[in-house]
Amino acid sequence: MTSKTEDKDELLKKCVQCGSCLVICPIYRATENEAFSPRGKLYYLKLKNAFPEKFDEELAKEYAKTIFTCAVCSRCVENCTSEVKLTDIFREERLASVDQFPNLVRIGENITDEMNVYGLDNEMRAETWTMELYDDFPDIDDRVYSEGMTADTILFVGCLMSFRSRHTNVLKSILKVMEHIDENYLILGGEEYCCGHPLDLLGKIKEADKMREHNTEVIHKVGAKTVVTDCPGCLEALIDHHKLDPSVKVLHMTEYFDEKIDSVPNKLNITLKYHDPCELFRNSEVTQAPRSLMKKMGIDVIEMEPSCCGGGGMLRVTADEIAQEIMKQRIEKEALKEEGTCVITCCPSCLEQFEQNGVTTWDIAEYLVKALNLEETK
Amino acid sequence: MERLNRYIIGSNASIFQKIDPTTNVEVFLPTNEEEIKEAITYAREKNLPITTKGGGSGMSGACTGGLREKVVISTLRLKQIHELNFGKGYAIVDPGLTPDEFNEQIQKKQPNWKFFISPSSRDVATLGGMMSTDGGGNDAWLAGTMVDNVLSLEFFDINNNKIIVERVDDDLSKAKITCEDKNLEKKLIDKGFSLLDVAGSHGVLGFVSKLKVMIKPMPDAGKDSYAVIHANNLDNFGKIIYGLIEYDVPLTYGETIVEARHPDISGPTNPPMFILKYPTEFDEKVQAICNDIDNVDFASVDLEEFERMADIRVKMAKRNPPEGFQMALFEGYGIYGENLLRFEEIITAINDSLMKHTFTPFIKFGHAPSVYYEDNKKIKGIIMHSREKRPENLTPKVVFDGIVGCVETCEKQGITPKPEHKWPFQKTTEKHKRLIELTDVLGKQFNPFLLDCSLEELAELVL
Repeated sequence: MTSKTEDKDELLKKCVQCGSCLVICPIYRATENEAFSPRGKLYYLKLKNAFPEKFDEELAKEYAKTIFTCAVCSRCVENCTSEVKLTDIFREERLASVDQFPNLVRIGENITDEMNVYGLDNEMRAETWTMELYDDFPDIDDRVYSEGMTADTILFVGCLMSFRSRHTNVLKSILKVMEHIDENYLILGGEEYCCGHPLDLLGKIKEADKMREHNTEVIHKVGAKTVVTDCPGCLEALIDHHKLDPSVKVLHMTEYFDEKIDSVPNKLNITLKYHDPCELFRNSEVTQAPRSLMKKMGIDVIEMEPSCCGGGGMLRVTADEIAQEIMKQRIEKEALKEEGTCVITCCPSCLEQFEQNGVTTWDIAEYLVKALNLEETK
Repeated sequence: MERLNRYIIGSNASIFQKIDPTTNVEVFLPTNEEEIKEAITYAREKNLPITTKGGGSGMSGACTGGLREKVVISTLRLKQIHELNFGKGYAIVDPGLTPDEFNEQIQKKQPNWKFFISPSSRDVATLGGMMSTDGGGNDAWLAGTMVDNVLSLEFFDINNNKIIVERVDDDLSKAKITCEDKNLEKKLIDKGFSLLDVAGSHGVLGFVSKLKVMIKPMPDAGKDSYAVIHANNLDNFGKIIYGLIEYDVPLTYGETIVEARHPDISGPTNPPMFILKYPTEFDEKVQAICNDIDNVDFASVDLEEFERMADIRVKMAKRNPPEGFQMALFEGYGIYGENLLRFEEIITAINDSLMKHTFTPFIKFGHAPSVYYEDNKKIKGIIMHSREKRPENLTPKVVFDGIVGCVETCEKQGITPKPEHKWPFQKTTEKHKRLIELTDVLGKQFNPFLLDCSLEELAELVL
């Protein structure tokens, strides 16, 4: 959020309206409409200051639609040499208009009522997928936190991976590797609350802070030295917004495994296209660890355009047709459906977005178990 | 989104951003020729002027249409490449394509070919817009400006007459004109209409719907030298430009930083300075030019350092001062000939004028040596851009006085602002008279404010 010293007016004055944020914005490319571009969204606010009498509720509704049509990939911020933190402004604007979108209000309520984005019983966080893993991990229930348990490491699973079946195999892979390196770890189960990242995207900062206070308390109770997550949204929230003791390290799964694993017994010797999740590489600046890990695994990486897949910023909820158009354009531009093409990534939301559009996609952890010869072990 | 589009369409990179959104009566985003004609028909029937907008990256404000009611036609959805002909070295393209998009498509087919005009805003500027402003870039010294790279173009007048203007005998001042309306065709031929008329006309002649432009192979890699040259004062800086022009060094990249009052820029670049790229065989020549001038430091650099410097240069145009905000009060100072030898005096006069009108100089930079057209004559010199610190008490009067001060300084100092940037003040120029003459033939419904707006009206547009 913008600070008092750099308020919205200051940020608006910083923007010279050069237009460098247009072509790199996936939303603009998908809509070909400047109203949906970062420059357009800022210009609206500039004009509103200049001609307040010409703005009304009807226009505010149109504008709100554009504000929520944003993947929050931060590429505009990265590209802006005038140093305008556009996403900060958009977050403030989202708060002002979120009530116009019933589906978003419902997501907000899901989180505040049930502590997860789906509004399901939070105790189910470590039920569905763990049940599927009993064959591989008969003692998995012992890894689920209850009062009084301690561990060196916490695997922070996140809402998406906890409740959506596609990610069971990713979690299974992560757990296999953690067992393989003999990690003393716990999953928080029903005591893991939403990290607050989706609430941030709705502009609901106070509500997000409540979730974080709980998570912080539990992490401290466990006495964990390290918190690991595969979800870049959770990672950002844990690092930037949970007031964890400075002695607690928060790592993305790829950073954690890259630290722990020096070499693998089964070099894969394959070539894959690596998609950098926006929140991971732009917001948390994790770029080297995934590449270093994949190099150790014998994966020759083809770099993809550092662009959003359409899966961020809750875009699939607010403007699914645009999220799909973004993916369609990437598939065409980067030939992602060519025979033999496989994308590798490390974000549950990106993984779903690619897969649902027919692109063969895997999480890094799913290949790591192959490289460590852990695939068939029980 | 129609209403919102009418508000947002005024967004552009000039200081002229305070466009009453309700003056944009209708916005059209055509995707093909039929839709272009529909938009023009709408404006004609409503008797509204038409303003064409490309990427909105220009600094002149021509795409705003001023304070008047108008129809805006955006070219942003006109992005087709109709033909790529490597054998004959041309492409036929829509006006909404950016140089970056265009080159990406060219290089998919022929990795070693490109379209050569590289303005700093090549990621967002459109080819149509570049023709309307006769844009150039860091390679203009060799590649020329936009008009030098256009072989022919098509545009529509207010009656939807399609006019084709085709260069003849490689002479920009000669053209073959084709139009179904033979009466109009004859009138334009009689006027000696050519591509030079469309270049820098800011959309007052009609809607450019298609361009046939040159594409060329890139020079062989590995035979270039990169250099960073520092001068100890601005007169010596001007002498270097003079020397490079005199000896006609074939620079493929020529950029300068004249002054910078920001530690992030001045620290690593130490202006006044040049960032140059040229064929290695000219190493001795460039060094000799520098050796002939006192206190000039020539340094060969590797590609990495060259790119680092070029990156600082390209980004500096959009940067804000350490405190406060930048604005581009008056863009595009053209300095050439003997005036290059008294650069210090010229910069001092510009800065004195700015300071007198409460504008603190912030950065100055430019393409040099470079070329531009002044009243259809090719000029060799520097096109220097300037950014100032935005005064806290910015009012239309402050802007008005500041611009008048700049214009007077330019006249006194023999500075010839590039036409791209001086349309509001060019009523005495040959170009202005020529455009008035041509709009007598073609009609006066395209961007008329360009030809008759006052500085007072312009100042009101500053946000």
